Amino acid sequence: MTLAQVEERTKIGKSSLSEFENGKREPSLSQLQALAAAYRRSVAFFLAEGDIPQETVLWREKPVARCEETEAIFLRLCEQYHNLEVWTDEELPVCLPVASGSPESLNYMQAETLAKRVRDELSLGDRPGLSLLSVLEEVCGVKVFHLEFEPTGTAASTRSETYGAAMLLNAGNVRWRRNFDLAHELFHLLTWSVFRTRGGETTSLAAGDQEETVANVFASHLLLPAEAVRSAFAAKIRDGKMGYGEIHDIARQFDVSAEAVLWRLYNLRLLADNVSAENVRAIAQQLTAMSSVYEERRDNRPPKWPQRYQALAVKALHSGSMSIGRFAEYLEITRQAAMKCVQQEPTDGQEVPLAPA
Amino acid sequence: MAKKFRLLLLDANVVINLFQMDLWDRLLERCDVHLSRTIASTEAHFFEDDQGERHDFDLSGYEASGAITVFDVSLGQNAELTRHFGPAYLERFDPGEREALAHLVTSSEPYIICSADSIVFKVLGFLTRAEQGISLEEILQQTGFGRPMPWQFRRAFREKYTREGFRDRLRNT
Repeated sequence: MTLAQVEERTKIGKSSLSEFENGKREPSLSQLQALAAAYRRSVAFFLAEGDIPQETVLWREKPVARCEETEAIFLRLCEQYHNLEVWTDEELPVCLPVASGSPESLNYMQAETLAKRVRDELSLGDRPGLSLLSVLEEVCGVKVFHLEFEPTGTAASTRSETYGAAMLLNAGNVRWRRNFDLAHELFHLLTWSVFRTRGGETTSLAAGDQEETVANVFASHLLLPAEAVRSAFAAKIRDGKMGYGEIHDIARQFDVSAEAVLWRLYNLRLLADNVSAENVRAIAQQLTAMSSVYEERRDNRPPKWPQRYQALAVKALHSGSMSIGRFAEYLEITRQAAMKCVQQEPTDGQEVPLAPA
Repeated sequence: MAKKFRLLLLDANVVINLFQMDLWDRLLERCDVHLSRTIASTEAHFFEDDQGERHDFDLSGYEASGAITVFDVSLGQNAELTRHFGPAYLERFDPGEREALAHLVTSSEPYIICSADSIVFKVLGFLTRAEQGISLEEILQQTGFGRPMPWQFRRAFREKYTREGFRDRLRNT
């Protein structure tokens, strides 16, 4: 951020900002809070002594515009979510299968094995795409946020010591695309220690082509389990043929794109022997072009934050663990809308009666 | 005429509510109001009526005319508040509220704070400064503007959370 941008956002003059920077003058608390808001950081961050842990974000492809800002918003959301967990005493530890090995050993076969392990350990069943997001958010302690950025084909993840595991998906993408991104980013979270850290230190941020390809293989195997796809395929065949409509039917069942289904059928050798990868690419283009004819799954725009985030904020407000203004800031609503949430006296002590243990 | 309340700190929720009830100017005639810089310049600048329509207001004129006192808080004062609660805990507050509490805690003057935030009263209970908290309901009653108020502005609200803060203190010591 330039000095002029900081001035515009904080209403603090450039000369004062320079004096703060050079240690000639100390800001007042209101000025420091304005600076913290402009940089999307907490006041504690600016007043902390010693080394501050740097959060690292892994992008599939960095956004072309406002990358730094998008990353700052993402990390701030992670921090806010973490704060809400602490304030409500409801921290959900990250509970994900751990991948081991070296970057070189994580090949296609390993990705397939890992996908099966994840499906089994997380009880995702035969249609993982239908439940993956909820399970990651509610059971595994992964924080998943949705923001809009360009290019749409990218997403990000982080595994922070402070905030735990988190992902950033593109809100502008259709749901089945987000599902694939979710599975792809999950691979990065599962293999974070394999690719990104050595002895607790982050060593490499950017993912190489090989890692990205393996992540795609993992996502395909995770969302489209072989046996379930074979069964769905068998049920759709008529006279040894399958139309584009049927491919879309299978895609809807698994909540993935028709293109992903087509590639999975190809990799499972369910297409004719003379169909080449080039043929698949050409058919995939036609399928994509016709997707709006067969289905309309573009409806549900995702919320910016998980439902649990919002629920924790309400609990924190009602228990007197956060202020109305913070609540409004965290949920991006007006202060007055926030005030309406505390207009009624809470019914303390109401609990659901349980059977004796 | 002597004012009913001297050294009265208000949080942004209370200021907004007073404007919404059209009581702000009348209350200033009877109370000596002090606002933190962030509340006066950033947090309290509009209210929404029952139809959701936004009405802007500007406190700078009140400050310029001396009808209210706006104060700045130093990082030293903030450090004193941090000494009691730790930096992470203070993130729970609105910025303006944090300034008001730092001002109250570090001042030798007997400020009282009127808030609609449970966490403010919990802090007062924790610091055994219950007498420095007041609800908007109590202020309006004592200045002749008494009326039924929503839960977060009532005396019972203040008392409930002040007690909770005091209980937290007992548990922590």
